[in-house]
Amino acid sequence: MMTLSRRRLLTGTAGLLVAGVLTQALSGSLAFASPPLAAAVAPSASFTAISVRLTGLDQPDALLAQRLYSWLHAHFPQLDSLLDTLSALLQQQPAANGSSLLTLLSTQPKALDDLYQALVSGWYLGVVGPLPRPQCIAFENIVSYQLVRDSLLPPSYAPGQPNFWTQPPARRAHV
Amino acid sequence: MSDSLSADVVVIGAGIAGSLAALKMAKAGASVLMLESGPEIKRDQAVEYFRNSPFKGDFTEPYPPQPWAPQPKFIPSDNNYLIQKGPDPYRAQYLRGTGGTTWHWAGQAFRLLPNDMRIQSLYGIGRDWPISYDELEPYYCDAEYQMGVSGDSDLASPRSRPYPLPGIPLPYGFDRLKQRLGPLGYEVGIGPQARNSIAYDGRPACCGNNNCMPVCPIDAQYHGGIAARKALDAGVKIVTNAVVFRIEADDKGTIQAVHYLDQNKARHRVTGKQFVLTANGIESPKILLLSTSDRYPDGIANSSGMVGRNLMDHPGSSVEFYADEPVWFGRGPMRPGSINNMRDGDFRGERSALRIDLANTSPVRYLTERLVRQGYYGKALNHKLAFQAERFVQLKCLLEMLPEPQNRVTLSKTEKDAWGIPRLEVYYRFPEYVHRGYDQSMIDFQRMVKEMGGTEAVYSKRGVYDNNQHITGTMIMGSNPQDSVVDGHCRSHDHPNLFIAGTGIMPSASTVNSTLTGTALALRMADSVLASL
Repeated sequence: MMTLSRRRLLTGTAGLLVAGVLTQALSGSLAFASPPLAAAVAPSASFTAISVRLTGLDQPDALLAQRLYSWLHAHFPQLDSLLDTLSALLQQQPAANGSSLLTLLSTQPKALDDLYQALVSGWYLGVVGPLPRPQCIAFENIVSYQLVRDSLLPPSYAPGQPNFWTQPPARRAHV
Repeated sequence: MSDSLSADVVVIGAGIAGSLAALKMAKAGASVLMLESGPEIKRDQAVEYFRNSPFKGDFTEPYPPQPWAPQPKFIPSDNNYLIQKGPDPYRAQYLRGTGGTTWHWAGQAFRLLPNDMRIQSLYGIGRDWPISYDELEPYYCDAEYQMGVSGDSDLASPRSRPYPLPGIPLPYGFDRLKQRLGPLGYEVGIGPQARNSIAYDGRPACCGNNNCMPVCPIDAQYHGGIAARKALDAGVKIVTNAVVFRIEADDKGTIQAVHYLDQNKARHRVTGKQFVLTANGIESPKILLLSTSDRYPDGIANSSGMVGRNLMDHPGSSVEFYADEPVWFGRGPMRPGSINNMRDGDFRGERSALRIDLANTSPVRYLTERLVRQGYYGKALNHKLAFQAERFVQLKCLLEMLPEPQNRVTLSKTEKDAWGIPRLEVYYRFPEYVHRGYDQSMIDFQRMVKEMGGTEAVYSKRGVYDNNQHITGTMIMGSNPQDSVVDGHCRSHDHPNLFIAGTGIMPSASTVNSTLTGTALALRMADSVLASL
């Protein structure tokens, strides 16, 4: 079995999974942890537009965008049409957020609700797909970690110097 | 069947207790063979699995089991490896593989209080230990120096040697709680941790990866895999994927051999002079109960009928809230400090003692999942997350179970695993003693929340407790062979050459994490084994 170096660990593993490197190098049990991703598909303009709205970011992470769009493309027929419908709905109801959004979505076709959930979960948590075996498509570059990156790092990463935690973060920078 | 394996000492279970005992015995010149049911676990793979898992909160995800060594799993749903017979759940997340469950512990390396070992004499509840704190103390030191325990205060557990490493300083937010809660009588202090505060024994200092559970990515935190590797280097032979299913004794009680199935279901017989069982507080009693014969119809080491009984752990209550100032919980190691001055007193005659951990697990993912479930997205979600992440506080209280024979594991008569080995049924009930401890924890939590200007406080419910994977009691130590399994030297009452160690022999659970005590017991046991060779 091939041994993974620390450098390889830190370069991010999801990309390697796309290329199939790890799935060939490791035993079948990695497939248990994370199945291979769908083939890469370039994000559409509809996807990019709604992602800006859903993340609140002017420039959502490009790599995650590609992974999320590729997964959606493989799981939602007529994806771009659905994206346009969802985008229009959110534009018509700009105040709908939190419980009011959940109420609004409950009145829509299931595919639209499913698409919304996949988009938000994909961007903020890096996880898509239903139980019992959802799929991890991203980790350190998800929106939630990027939002607080100057105070709280993604678990398993560290800024370097021991005992940094005795002091408050130098600044409260958010995306 | 192969009959080629033999050693002075045969150790079953390559976790932290078995591995450190094996290391000590090998260094003393004994030939030692260690049998481990699971595979070798590798740190870099575990980190990969963690980062690629959709279930970041499931500590078993980085350690996928092999078919011959299944292990409990509860996310996304219960795999029913442990058959819950109620009335309360017992959801232990343990690992089967080289190094064992300390791959995903938090490194908290507390000693018992001397009074924890005399609760029957002092408070009229539970059981006394057959050995004193003073007898165990030198082995606590040995375990701490092996593991590289950092600490500053003795926390009322007397010490003959200083901690091997200086204490890891508290995170900023912990210090804020310490300053504000101190005047109320709650002493927030640095916890003893098997985590390097400075480089030690070839491993680096903790640099705050905040991933102690499920895996420290840099080995700053000690775990059983490190112990197993040292044992291997010292000459211990380790056979992985060796599922022990029978311990064989002659009519006089002397253990003659153990039998295991390998990953191809081939059978092997292993002989030795002395035998050591350190396969954790669930799997060890399973092996003993499996080992029935005409001479031992209730299994090995079980003339008392106590094998598998007296199951204890630490039921947990909790509160979470937003403080009125930023505290940034989630920076540094996951469990660096706690409130330790509620662990002992006359109240123990009536209700459980308490120990409260400040949970320094990064809350970002947990909070995000909740906000997503609540229907937030975009700038509204971002704004809420930024506020919540810097003010989130979670406090977790460990409650003390008492040894009660009806809390037990026993072999299923109908359900077997893929290798044909009966699975375990678990009978578990939280006693009123624990519920009354919960009531006190809520009084204390409410005072703390008020002092911290807490908002949106969520208190855990009475009778609904977290489990903490501190499995104790199932092969209970005692001086009376009629109501205990091993004596004060960890030797089976029934079999002169069978020793059992780890947390499963502890007669009291106290309120502290059990690993250091289980390991100290294993090192003490090693002396007895060596003296018997």
